[in-house]
Amino acid sequence: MLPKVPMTVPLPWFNSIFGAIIGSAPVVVNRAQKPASRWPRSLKVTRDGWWFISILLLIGMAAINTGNNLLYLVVATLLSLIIISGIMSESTLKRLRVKRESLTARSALYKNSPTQVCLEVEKSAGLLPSYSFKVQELETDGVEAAKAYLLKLDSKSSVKVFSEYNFKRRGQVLLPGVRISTSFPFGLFIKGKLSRESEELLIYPEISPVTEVSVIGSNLTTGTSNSKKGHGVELHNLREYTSGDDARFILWKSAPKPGPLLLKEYETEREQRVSVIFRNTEGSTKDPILEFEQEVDRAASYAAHFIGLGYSVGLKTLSEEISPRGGSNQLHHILRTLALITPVTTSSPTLGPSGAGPSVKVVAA
Amino acid sequence: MRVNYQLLITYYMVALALGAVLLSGSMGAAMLTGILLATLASLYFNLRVKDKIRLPPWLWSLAAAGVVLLFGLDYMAGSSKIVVIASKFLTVLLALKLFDIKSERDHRIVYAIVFFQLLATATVTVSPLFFLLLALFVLGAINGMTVFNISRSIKEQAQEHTGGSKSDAEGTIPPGLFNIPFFLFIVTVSTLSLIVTLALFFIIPRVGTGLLNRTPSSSTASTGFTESVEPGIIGEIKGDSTVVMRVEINGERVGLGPLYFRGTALERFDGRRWTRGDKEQSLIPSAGQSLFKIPNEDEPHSGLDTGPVIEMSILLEPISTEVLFVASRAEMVSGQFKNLWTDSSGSGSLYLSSPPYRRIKYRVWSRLPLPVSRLTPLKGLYNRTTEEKIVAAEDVVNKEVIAITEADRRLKKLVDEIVEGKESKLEKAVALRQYLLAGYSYTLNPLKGDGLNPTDDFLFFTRQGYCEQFATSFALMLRAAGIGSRLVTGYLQGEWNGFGKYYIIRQSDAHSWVEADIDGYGWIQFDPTPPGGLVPVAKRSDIMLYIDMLRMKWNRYVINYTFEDQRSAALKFEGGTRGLGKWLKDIYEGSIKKRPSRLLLPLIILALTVAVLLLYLKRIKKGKRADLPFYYSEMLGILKSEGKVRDDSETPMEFALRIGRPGVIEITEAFQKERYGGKRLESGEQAKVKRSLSRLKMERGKGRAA
Repeated sequence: MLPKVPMTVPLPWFNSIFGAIIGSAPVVVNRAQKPASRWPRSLKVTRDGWWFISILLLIGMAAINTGNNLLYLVVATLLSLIIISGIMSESTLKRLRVKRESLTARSALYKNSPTQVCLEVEKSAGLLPSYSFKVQELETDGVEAAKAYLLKLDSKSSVKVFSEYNFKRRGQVLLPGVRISTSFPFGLFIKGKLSRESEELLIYPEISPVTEVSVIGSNLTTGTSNSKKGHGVELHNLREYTSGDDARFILWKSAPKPGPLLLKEYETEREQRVSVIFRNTEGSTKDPILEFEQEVDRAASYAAHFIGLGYSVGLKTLSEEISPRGGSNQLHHILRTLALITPVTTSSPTLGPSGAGPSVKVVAA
Repeated sequence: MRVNYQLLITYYMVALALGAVLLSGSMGAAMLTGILLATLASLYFNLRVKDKIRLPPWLWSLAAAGVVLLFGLDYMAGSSKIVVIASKFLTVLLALKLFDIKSERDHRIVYAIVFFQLLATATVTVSPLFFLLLALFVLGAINGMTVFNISRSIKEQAQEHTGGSKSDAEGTIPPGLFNIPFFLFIVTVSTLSLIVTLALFFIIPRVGTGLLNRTPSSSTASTGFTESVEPGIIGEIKGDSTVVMRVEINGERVGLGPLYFRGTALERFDGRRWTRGDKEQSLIPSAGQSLFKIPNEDEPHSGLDTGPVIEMSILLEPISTEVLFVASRAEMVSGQFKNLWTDSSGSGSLYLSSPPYRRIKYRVWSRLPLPVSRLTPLKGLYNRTTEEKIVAAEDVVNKEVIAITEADRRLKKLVDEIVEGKESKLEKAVALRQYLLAGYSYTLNPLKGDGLNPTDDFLFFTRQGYCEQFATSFALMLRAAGIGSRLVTGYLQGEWNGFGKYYIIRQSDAHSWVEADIDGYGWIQFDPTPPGGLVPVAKRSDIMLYIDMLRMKWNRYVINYTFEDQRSAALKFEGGTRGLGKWLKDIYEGSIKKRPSRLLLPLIILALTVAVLLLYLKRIKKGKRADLPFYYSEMLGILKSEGKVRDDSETPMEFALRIGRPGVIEITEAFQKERYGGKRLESGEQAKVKRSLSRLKMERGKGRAA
């Protein structure tokens, strides 16, 4: 069977046949997947570079005008510096590769919560070391990544650097790759290359600490105890043993001590269930997007708060409903849903009238 | 004391700027000394005083404004050329700026001033030393720019980390970064840059020039080549070693005696002064591609046109004359001239439209004259159409020009005595020349006699003189014998430079000789000056000749490099590659009959050099890899001091197991991982190795104490 090759490459049929004959289909596929039209290097002229080019042009004009060969010599010198700059910067960038640690392996990534990401920079070959370069995540919507600077990296060596990533929005974020750039040696140009390391991430909404929240349909507020005596597993109270009590619950550790025998009383096993009701309609203020995002963050914060307290938490939105459950898996489920949630226009009698802005409330389930 | 690397580079650049000022000659000795002292004072200030005294920031701006004003007034007063004023201005500004170096920006401003100083020098000098200055500037600039760029990147990173302003950020350059290897790296890059510079210089097309194409150049004052020559002038310039031209002979130099570079022929003599007889000139039409064929219509069979033709390249300095010097009789001239003129009389003298203001380069194809002994009468009739134009014997007694004097009678009598019994004009001319050569001596300081005029004095009283006196006397004697003659001024071939394979012709090589109109032969060249007057005044040492060769190459291939040179180089390259192709084909066919192109040898040498360099670098890298890691070497050292040495037959791990100490095994495992696993040690592993080493050292210490 012929390997599948994207039809965007030139002569895909040739690649396919060639791959099949040689038996190195993966190589062919990798080569074929390379975008054909992308420039291998990016180049930006710095402010100093513009000055340099302006002076070069001026002297060039003077040389043409006067026919003075010494001015031509100066022009040739300035041009040679540009060429040397190109060669040296290329020598720095060549054979450099950056490998970002896998962020999908992380348990969770939250909006506006800076995290350190390890970047492994490797210089696989070359005669000269790489001097003075920066690595930084390629600019992409919703991600702010700090630059990491390396002064020197010898050939055939690698080094790990850390860069602070801050995700500015929730939802799916595509990290396309890491950009390596250098202004070495003269600072006239910034040359860059892309080390492709694309990775798709899901960023959870921002979780803020919740100080107080009222739960509708219950007299409880966050922080108050709501336990009752029952047949659960959590200890509720200790009391004096009386006849007729089940001897299995006697606190035997207290038996050798002087005084009466003590009996363990357990809490009721009834679940504490709440539902976070998120009315995910479009915002009605001047900045509806911001309003919606704030409400998403609030919903996520409530969910995290109650699950942290041991509650079974559910989520009810206009588009989806998650039954209350406890534990970290449930929290991830809720956060994943909130990470991808979008405003809807549908009204629901239970969630409020149509036309009102987004809102979040917590109700006892 | 820790050397401030940036300050070191900055003062290196300042030294270059002062060198440029010296080269441009725009500053007097007093001012230059003042600037030098100010520079030294600024160095002391920057090293010792700057940290103690804070100069107010406005002081520099005020001083700079003052300098601008001062030099602005100087320019308006028209005291000197703008380039000279700019050069002075930049130097003073530089000296002031040296007292105000606080930040990297200030260092960069200094670099910029030095660069513009160099640029100003480029417009006023033609010295090869400029290239040296430029090369040193490239070295300094690459060094400085790299250092500043790295330093700035470190500061930016520090700023990003601290979130502070750029000025607050204190990025520290790692100690030891700017070490010897770094300097060698910079030198290599600079050398590469200079190679690229030269390549670009020769490639950049020399497109048409614009409005300001008048390059200032120092003009060499010349005498002896105007329309009138007075005997005595050449004698004065015989001590002048100023170079007038340099001449390369293309192809084989035929052994026909010294070359005579002909300037102009002077035909009229009024008793004291030689002037051109016919001042009319005719334009020589260009034969295309800057080639001029010199017409010879009046004298198609002149005796001057009998010898072999040689090709030569001449680099003529600006010597304030429009005369174009050519060896003997030019048949073709090629050069970037707008127009070329010649005498209407057909004397063969060539003239430019105006005296060149800069050094000019041209090629000449000249026919050399045969020695008189080898001359044969020309076949056919000698059509002497210029007879009327030639000032012949009658001129000596031309009553309209000069009155017949006692001196003339004496001259006529002497000539009659010499030529008595000689039938032909050629015999007479040879006899007269022989008379002068035999009876008169050459001197640059002739005595004053009691003659009625300088010629009379020379011929009958002092009997010694220099070339002009010999030539004048000979020309007049020829005329007295009824032979048409004219005096020719020009230069002898001068000194041969074996290093550059060219003749150096100086003012001291100025010479005059005679052309005689001999029936049956045409115009024949005679030099009546004794051989003692034909040798260069002073021989230069080999070093001086070598320096002159460098100067000549510089002038030839840099200062006077033109579009024509580019065209010819391109054609040569094309020919060379074609030759190379043919040579390779010949190799393929197994018959090398012809030598390969001249380019081939340098190319092979270059390829071999690169190959050797690459192999060397590879070897160095391999060698480095073969080195033992420091910790393993140290461990072996410790064990050796305890008398435990690894056998050659043992593997590292076998040795470690024989020793049996955990630290040794740990270190050996790390060594094996790095050496044979090709992996680097993680930080934890490094720490572990360090601990093991410390433990081993401690154990050794305890052992010794015990």
